[in-house]
Amino acid sequence: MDQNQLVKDCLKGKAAAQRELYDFFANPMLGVCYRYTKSMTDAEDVLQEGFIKVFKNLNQYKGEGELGAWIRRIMVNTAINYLKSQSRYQYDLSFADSGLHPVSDDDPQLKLNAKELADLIRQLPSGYQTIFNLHAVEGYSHVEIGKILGINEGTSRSQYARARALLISWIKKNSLDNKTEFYARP
Amino acid sequence: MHDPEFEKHVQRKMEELQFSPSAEVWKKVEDEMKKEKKRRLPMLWIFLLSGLLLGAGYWVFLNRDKNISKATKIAEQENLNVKNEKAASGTENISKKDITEKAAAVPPKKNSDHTAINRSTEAPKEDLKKRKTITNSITDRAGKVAIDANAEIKSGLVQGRSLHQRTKNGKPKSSNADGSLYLNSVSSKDKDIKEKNANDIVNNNDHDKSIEKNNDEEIGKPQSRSQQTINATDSFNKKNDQEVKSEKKTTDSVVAMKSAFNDPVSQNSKSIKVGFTAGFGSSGINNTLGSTYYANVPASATGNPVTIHTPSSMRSGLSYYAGVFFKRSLSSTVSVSAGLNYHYYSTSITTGKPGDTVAYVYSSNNYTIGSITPVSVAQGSYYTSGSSRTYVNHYHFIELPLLLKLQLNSSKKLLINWQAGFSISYLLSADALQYDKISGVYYNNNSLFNKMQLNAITGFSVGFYQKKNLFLIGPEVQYGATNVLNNQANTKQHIFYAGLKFSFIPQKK
Repeated sequence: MDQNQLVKDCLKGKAAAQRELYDFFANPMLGVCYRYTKSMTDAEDVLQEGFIKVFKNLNQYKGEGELGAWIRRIMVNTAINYLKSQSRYQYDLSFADSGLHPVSDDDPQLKLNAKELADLIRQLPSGYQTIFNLHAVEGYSHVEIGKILGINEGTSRSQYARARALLISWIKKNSLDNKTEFYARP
Repeated sequence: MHDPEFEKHVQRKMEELQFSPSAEVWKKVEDEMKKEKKRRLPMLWIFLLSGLLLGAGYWVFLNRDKNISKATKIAEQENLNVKNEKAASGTENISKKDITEKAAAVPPKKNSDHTAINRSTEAPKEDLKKRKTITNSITDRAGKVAIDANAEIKSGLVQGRSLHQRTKNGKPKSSNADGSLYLNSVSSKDKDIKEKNANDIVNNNDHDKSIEKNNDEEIGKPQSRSQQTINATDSFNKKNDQEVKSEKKTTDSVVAMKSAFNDPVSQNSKSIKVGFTAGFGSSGINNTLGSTYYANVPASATGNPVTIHTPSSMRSGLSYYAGVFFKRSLSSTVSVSAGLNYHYYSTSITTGKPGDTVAYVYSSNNYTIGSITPVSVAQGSYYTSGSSRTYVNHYHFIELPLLLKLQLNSSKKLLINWQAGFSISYLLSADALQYDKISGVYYNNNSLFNKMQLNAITGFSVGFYQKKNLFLIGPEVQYGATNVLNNQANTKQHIFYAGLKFSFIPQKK
């Protein structure tokens, strides 16, 4: 179905249209939520909350961009709010600049599948995980991330570098331990 | 420098990441949407029902107007018919009718051959005098043809029935030439009274006959004129009875309508009047943009304080409204009214230039959470902080005011009223700017508005009549009891209005 028509039907309160929109976007959006959280239960909570926001605010979607991108942005925002509001993420979600330097700047060739990579990202501390997702996956600049999270641009930048290096080191370690070619050096 | 290839790989891989959510997720989403729908329905119904009530009131008002004119036309037509009938049948009918009417009103008189009716023994002296005069005139006028047809038509059937009613009630009532008093005095029991009167006319006539017969026998010389009177009375009463029945509906309508608009008591207590109202003045918001925000100054996730920008002060702006209302008087001094208005409010703030880059603003000012993710605002669609330009916030509301009005003085010429009440209003649209204190930009976010508002209203007015139309003018103030912004904004803003109110209630014709 045409997405604009689908949106119109949803705005009219048609349950069938809402279900159709949910079915169409639920799977990829759960993938987004999965990357930001530590468990599938949390990811589903975020997905649920996110879709409620989507339906309540669908009148703000002007049809100018991709509906999927608009929904995705809502999911990301919801996920970040969720992390902040959940006490179990609070301790981990620290963006204090520790002055650490990147341990590795190598850029390995990525050969692992999506879930394996997502699982590694989820093993990062929540602060790193969030910044890594926002920058590496969503494509936000450090200035934007700084504004989103209320931190300095420099903090975002250094935290990202740390997260990236940590992730690569884990990938390497994992690769060696499991003899699995997640990354293959040239 | 990082090799961006890594990020590109990650992006591509993450695009592929998909999971099927459990059925519980949709169930919860669906439940929440149903709740939301239920929350919205009552408000929708309030407006629909209010609109319906107002519409019904207006329809009743219009319909009443039509009924009056229709009933008046029918009554006029009936009078014309009577006139024509009288003209066609010559003087005989007029004479008979005249005789009957007057005979019916004559008090008993032993020595008179026309003292057939004796139901007015308790009548006041004045009335008795009148009746004597009438009795004399019957004698004088019997057999004469010269009767003023216009006067007869004016008094007509209504007067005839008035007389019958008078005899039944045993209380005399002076009847106006146009019979309006009769019309005014008829209450909801009119139908019964008229029906009884119709019967009484016949019964009384029978009674009259016997009395007259007795009188004749007593006197010992039956009068031919007496007999003629009886016949004439019979004839007229039969006709009158038919007319009573045939005109019953028409007269009822006329009576009801006329009593509603002519009788001061009915006018005050029962009629619903339509009026038009308008006002203009100044409106404002009793709070600066997001002032409560300061109470919850957040710390960033790093613990460092977030820079807070100060918004522009909010200044009052022009406000006006116009609408229609329906007024019902509860007593001579108290009335209630309900109406439907369009109300425009405005305020103004000082801003900087339109932003030339993408800005990130927080959809909520509730920063105590400290985790609200900002949304991007496109360049040109927001204003920076500054003082280079004045921006006017516009609010368009539809309002349903319910007012209780109390007349403070007893003058009928210059009315001094105090009114108070409330209005339920719905925000049709607004372009008011929100202020984001983190980024320091003014931006538009209508999702932060509370669409439904409840306002308290009070004011005074001075009223006067001009060509029977009522004009009212006076100061009025309104204050929004509900927050203009919703919970998401976490800022209290109450809209207020102060201005002059004008009302006009046209007099019914």
